[in-house]
Amino acid sequence: MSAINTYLIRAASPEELHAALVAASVGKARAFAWDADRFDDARVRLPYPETSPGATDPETGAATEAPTGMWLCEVVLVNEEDAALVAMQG
Amino acid sequence: MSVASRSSDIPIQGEASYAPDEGRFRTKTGWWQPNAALAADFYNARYARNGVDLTLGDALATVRSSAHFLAGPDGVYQSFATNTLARITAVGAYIGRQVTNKCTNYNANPASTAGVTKYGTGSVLSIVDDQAALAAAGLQNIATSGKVYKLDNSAGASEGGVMFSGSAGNVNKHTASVYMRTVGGTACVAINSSIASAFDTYAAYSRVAVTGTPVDTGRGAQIKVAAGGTAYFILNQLEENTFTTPPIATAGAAATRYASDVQAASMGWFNAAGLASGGAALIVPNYASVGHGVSRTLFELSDGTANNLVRAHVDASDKPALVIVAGGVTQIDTALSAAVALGRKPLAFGWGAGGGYVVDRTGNVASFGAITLPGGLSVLRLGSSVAGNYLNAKLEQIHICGTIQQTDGQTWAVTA
Repeated sequence: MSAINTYLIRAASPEELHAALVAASVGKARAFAWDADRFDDARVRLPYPETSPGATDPETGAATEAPTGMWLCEVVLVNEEDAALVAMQG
Repeated sequence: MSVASRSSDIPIQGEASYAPDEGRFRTKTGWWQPNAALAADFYNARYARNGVDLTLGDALATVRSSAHFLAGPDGVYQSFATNTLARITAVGAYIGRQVTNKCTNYNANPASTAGVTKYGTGSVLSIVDDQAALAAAGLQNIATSGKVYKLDNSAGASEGGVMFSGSAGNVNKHTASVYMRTVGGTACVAINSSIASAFDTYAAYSRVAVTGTPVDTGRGAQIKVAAGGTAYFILNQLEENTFTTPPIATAGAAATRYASDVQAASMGWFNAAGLASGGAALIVPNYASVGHGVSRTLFELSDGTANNLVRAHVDASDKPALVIVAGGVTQIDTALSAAVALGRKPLAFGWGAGGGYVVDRTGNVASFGAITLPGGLSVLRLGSSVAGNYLNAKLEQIHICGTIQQTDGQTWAVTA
């Protein structure tokens, strides 16, 4: 049974998330992010907007989510832990 | 022998090969291209390096931080664990990019109607057991509880339906899909709400899909059921794609299937076989969809960067192509004039300092002359590149060798 470790990283923009993961990759055999905008999409969920309840579906009236303006990404490691990512989670 | 002319390496159909068999790599004859330094036949679950059989794990390493479903030849979905290539005998290996199912209900094993909002007067939404019908559709290994959603609109005087929670989040093209069967009427799937498939009947669970651009970021997946009808449905999916990919199970939140990064487990064989000075590859992708408008990689040899690489792909127009970059300078970017279509498409690529070629099984050829070869090639990726560009299709076989030293008939026979 594999141990899955998920690290949720939050920042003001996708670019900030990329920069943070590039920094966390230093000295690692496999980087979390590299080049201008490339993420390790085999292990990192690509940045997506954070949302919170508060919007309403225009057709059904059901409650939906609205963007907060912040961005998230998740790093998912299999049988591996990463102290730099732990620190980033705050 | 030069590889500038494709006919130097792959004689025309029926013509005897005049290329000398150097015997450099051939240790015995088998299922692989005779002088293959590395051969992987995903369709038949066999792998070899320099004529010596080895296991999949010894040949290739897969990184993917999520499980993966893939349907077998019998239509039954099988589950593959993290860091395990999704490969099935008589199907091949699926190598795809990262995809998020943006629906946030319990789409595989619903215990309640949380995340599913009904609309329409007279329709009734419930959870029911439909184990036999799920098994008949090959869904029993995903929908393990046997439970599905049912929208009964048999008493409805007008259209009814459901909205799934989870929105597109942007206005890029999305595809909504669902497994659905109907009784007594028609139904369709939609992206809330104007982008919809045609209303139709489905006697057994069928994957129904529609692709379009959400009118705003808040739109999600939807099912519409005509008055008088009943729909049973499961595995609703909303993905930012122009095509459907294998199902992604959700459990109250969006869920991501990570990309499959498939690389050669080691590269000692590459230099030992002299492939740094040129090579050839015979490869068999199998496309379930085309027309994506993006590059889809077959294989890439690189130094780990985009500055030195040999990349075979189908380009944004679906044409088989070869790109070679040396020292950051593109040496060649040549494509066949004929695009690939659906189904299995055996292709061959050759490259060397003297030139190279791209050829398909029907005889379409593109060749090029002398180039500067990239140095430091140390990474072999199958179905993706250093920039991503995932195959998003099945790969049946690949054979990498110095040169292809057979007639066309013999060469393509390897891919049969």
